[in-house]
Amino acid sequence: MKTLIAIGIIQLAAIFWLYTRIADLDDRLDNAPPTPQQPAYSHEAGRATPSGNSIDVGAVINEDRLRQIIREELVVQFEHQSSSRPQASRSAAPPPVDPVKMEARREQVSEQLEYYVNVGSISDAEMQMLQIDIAKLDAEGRTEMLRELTRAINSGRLEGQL
Amino acid sequence: MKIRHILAVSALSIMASVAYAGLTQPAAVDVDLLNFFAQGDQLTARTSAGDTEFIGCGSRTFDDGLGTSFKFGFCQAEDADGDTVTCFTQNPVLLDAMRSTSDYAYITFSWQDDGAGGAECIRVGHSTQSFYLPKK
Repeated sequence: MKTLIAIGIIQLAAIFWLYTRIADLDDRLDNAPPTPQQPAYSHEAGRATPSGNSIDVGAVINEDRLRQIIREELVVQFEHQSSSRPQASRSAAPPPVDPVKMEARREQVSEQLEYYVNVGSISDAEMQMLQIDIAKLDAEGRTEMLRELTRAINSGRLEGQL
Repeated sequence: MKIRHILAVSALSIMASVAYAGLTQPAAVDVDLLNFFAQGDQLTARTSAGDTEFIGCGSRTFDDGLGTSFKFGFCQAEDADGDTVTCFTQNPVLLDAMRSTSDYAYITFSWQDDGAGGAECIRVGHSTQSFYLPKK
């Protein structure tokens, strides 16, 4: 309990010291003269700031023009998203691949899995490689191989982590 | 104004110093192979006396090189008795649930067994509560 009280007192002292430092810095900032490098734009475009800095009227973008640009950009962005949406929805269904090639791939992945089952274990790196190969199968093949993989792990024939 | 701030910060500081207590409710990992159900909190699993207990969920996303992607998620656990399970899913809703698991969370999941050990996840739940957090 004494230790807690001591820690509490130390914390209070530290907080008080920090607070006074911050307050001091705040006061200094308030009293500091405005920096000439910061061109503070007024709400209305092209007008010089009250601090007296002159701004090139031609360089200042009119607020209405700025809004128009943003609108145009949003339209372009929206159109881009709309055109890419069908692509995203296709992500769940891979495009058709030559059935013979796919069968060969599936056979290859199955053999890999069988190899690891025979070894009895699979390292993390090997597991990742196997999963990459599973990802190259069609939807049916992926599900089948994942099921086969969990069967092997759950039955204890294959030691490893997904 | 300054004095009020100092008093408020001081009060909070003192309260923080004494806030050590609180309810703890460790949930040891349990894998129920009869009812296809697993549960447990991550901290209890990680700090358990045994070196096999664990529980967690994860997800994988692949670019299959054909302009599409392949995503699947999984949950896995092993309890002190050595009962272990790994289930997987491609269900996007379950995948979202698996991805939103937080540190120190309690995790529970169920699966459907195909009769040969192939386990597909059918339920994922997690809970983030103060009583699962480590004591400082």
